[in-house]
Amino acid sequence: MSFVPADSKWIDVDGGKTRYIDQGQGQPIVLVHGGTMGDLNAASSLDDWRPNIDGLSKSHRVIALDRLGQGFTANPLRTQDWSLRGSINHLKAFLKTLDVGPCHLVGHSEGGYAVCRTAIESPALVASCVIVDSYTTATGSGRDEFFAALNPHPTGTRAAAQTQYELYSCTKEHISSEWLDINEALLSSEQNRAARQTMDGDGLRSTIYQNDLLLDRDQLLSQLAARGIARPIMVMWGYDDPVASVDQSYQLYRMVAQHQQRSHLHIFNQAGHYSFRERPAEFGRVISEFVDGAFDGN
Amino acid sequence: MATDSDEDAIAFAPASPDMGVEKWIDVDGIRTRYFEAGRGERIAFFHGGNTGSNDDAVTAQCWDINFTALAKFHHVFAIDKLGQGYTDNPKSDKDYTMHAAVQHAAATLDALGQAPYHIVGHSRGGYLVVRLALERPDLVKSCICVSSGTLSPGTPRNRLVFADAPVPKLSRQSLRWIYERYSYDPKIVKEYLVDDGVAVSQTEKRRTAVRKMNREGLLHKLFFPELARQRAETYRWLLERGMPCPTLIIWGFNDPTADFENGKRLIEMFMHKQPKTEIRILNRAGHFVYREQPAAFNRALHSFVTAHSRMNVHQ
Repeated sequence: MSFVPADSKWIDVDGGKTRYIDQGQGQPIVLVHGGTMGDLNAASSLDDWRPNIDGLSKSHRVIALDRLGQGFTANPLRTQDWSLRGSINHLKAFLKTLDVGPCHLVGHSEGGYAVCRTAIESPALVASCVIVDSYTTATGSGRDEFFAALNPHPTGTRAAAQTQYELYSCTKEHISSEWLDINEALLSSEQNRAARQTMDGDGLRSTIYQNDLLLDRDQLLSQLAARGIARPIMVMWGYDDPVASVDQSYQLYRMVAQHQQRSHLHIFNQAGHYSFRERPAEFGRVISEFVDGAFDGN
Repeated sequence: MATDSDEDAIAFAPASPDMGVEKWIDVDGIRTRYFEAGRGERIAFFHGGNTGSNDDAVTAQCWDINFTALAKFHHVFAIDKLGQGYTDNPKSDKDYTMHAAVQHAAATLDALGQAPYHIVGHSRGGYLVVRLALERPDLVKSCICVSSGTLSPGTPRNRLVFADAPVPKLSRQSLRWIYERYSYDPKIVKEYLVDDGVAVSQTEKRRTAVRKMNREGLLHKLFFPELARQRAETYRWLLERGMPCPTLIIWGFNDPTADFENGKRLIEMFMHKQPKTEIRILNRAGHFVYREQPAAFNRALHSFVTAHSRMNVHQ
């Protein structure tokens, strides 16, 4: 695959070849992208974080991975792993295999959900967590199906991807041709084709993925409300996120703040669902500040 | 965790309450008290409350643990507002207003020189810094507005929360009770802060201001009506032209008086124009969020100020 970015590293995680990058020195920050296996228009990968990696790695060790069945990481081997649960298990196994001690996890959208789950289930792997624009982790639904229905372009085309990014964003400058290029490459890969076939052709998106998420999310929200998270947490949001509304950030914050003293909410103005791409300087600054102060005494 | 952050952790921890020797500056005939320390970016802190309040007697001292921590990195100032702390009362009755407090704050920065400043204001001081930025953008590099019920839409909750405060008001017992009610954790109310309030309340000029505002009725005849008019005007300015500088809103999630639900309605107006607007909510913090979560507050402030130090924000 000639279009695989040059800084890619590879690691075997429970039999699945996993792509990641590892840059800089200092406390480890792990960036966990959003989306699902078999993404239709916008194929999420660690490359979503490109505007953030160089800046953040000046002061920290930045690790970013492609989640199970996404980016250049292998598709799930077992049927039940075509699920967010499978992706969460893969993230936990990745962290164990990498073995760099407790990490500061930063998760976007469904990646935020995976981070939240990891902090609850495997706290030894987690120093702190940041949940970015994740309606999956909050209560209520998102607006992604609305925007999918609104998109006039044929599914899987470059135009459809661009339109989706625009619909999800407040500003357009971050929607670079490099980002569209890698998205196009990912969507045309054999692996993504196979993933789409499994998810939509064979119907696992509804029979496995969504059923599993329905039950798991119900349980996660109950756990968050009842016990919260035993790690410092920052909820971070774009004020103008059209997919995951800022009200959902308030609801999520209210849940976690009940239990965790070190709960922060940080909101950027004029930023949408990819708030970290639209406000990369601010994002890097606030992540650094939160991570560095995660264990301050008062 | 990693040792390289340990020094940082010490740097941002609340430092000594010793703000150094008080200084004085003449501001259009108003003898004004302030504190000054450190080198670097100029940050000016404005405390809450209003002249002649019979609830509390906050002075520049309220910032001590933030002031001394930030002074390690920046050139910090903490100023007693018009008619508060040890700064002179307004020269005439018509100046018992927020408007006059804003004009005095602007004139103080003019007198101190070397503008622009990063301005930090809490509560009524949060209203003051926003209004100052809108009226005198030349003086301001960035604005940090902290838990300002005064600036928020909706009904303030102070009267409700403080309805059964012990009397006499401004006594040691009453001041302590009110500072504790403002807080998430009453244990953060240190005796020396109560001492500070008691000492100010016993000054002759303070007694005069309290008499004018309460017994002589300037609070309801002048202060509140003027504030209501100017607040509506401030909202129009926020919607029409927006803040002229990067703006950070910091709020304590458990503030019993400046309720965050009202804060959300205020945030909407800040978000309308100025793209460089950020919100930070800190947990387990009441009205004095900077005293209840000082390390997190100091870090957030330092990071924001540093990010907006080099640029020319008025270009």
